[in-house]
Amino acid sequence: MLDINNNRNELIEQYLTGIMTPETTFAFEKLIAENESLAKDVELVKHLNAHFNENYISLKNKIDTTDLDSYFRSDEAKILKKTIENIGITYASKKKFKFPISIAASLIGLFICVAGYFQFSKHDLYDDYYTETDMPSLVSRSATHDLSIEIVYAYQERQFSKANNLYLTYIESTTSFNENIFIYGGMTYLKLNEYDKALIEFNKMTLSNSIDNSKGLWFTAMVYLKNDNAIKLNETLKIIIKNPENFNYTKAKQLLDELD
Amino acid sequence: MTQSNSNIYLKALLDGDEKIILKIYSEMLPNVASFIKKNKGTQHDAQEIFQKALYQLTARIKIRDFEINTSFEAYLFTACKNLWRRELNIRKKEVRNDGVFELVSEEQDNSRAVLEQERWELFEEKIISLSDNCKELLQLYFKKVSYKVIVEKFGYANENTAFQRVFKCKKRLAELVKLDKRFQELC
Repeated sequence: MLDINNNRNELIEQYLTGIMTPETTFAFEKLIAENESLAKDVELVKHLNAHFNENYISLKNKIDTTDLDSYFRSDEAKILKKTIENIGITYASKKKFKFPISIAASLIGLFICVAGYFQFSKHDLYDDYYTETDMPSLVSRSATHDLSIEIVYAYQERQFSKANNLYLTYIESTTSFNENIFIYGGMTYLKLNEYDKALIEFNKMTLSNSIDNSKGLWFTAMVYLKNDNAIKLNETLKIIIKNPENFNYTKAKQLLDELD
Repeated sequence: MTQSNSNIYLKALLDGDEKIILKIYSEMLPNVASFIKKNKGTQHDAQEIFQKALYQLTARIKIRDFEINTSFEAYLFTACKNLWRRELNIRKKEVRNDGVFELVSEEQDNSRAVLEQERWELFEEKIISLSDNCKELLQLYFKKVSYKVIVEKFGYANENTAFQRVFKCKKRLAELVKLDKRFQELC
């Protein structure tokens, strides 16, 4: 007999993790069908699990959407939708025609054209080559709560100023740390467009004794890519491709090819 | 980005201010596009998702007592990420021909997406209000970090204690959500 009064949460957990026997599952599903409150609790835990696992669960049909539906049906909303779409078209066409404009400019001055095209393509390349999956993990086995985790969370939540402040506090107050934290320090500066400060932090990583120190070179390249410094970008990428062991060696080669 | 910047952007959306909305596109769409292109999408997908997110945000400001607690850019990026996850799910169902498709108007679809974003925010808000210990524990648990590592990291006596602790944190989280008045409307 399933005791949902005393073991409600345990049973929900067992049911959702699939560790119930087929007989118990059948009995529990019967209870869910009969008990609306239990069904709602199961649903909630399912939703929370999906939330943490970044899975999607659609809204239940019975949820009332009347007020939002009325707004979206209004003329005001339709006009606004059209405005947003038209601005999107303007944005896309500006982006698309940057290249032909630079060709036209070449008739006036080859130098201006090359510089214009170079700048445009660099921003696209930065979007293609900077990936958050390159950011290091700072999970450690230390038993104490570490401020470095807060830096990672703030960064992941795109609160770059907060992450930067936490980083500065952490560096000042900590004597022994995982050198990968320099990457977070540098990236917060890069996100805030403080290129020189970003370079200093990435240089610290490159010069550190960490096994991952070549990551410093890759992120230095990202600064030059974002900041349109073609000469320094080339130099840095060429250093990376000298050693296949270096972080993102293949990506560095590929990026150099694209730049050529 | 400051709160006042967020307010400028929100006001621009309400007023349909083309100059500032174009600025939102040029400053924020590239990041969204980069994310979507790395997750099975195209530039065109990114633009559509971005437009939907802006449109749905406007509805929230218009008819809800809604404020952005983080930066405008962070909010928009998350909303786009969630919308893209939603879109991928719909596409997956279409490919598999999974289940019966309910005919939903464009207006209803936008409404449901707004409520799903609100549900996401409700869960995030409650996760943030958990203790630091619970937050970190649940993050690790859902990242599939083994109980063995969790035991070492938190100094628990054994794996059973770690399991009990995870269980209690999940229970606490569910209780916090249930206590919120939005729970009945969104879950």
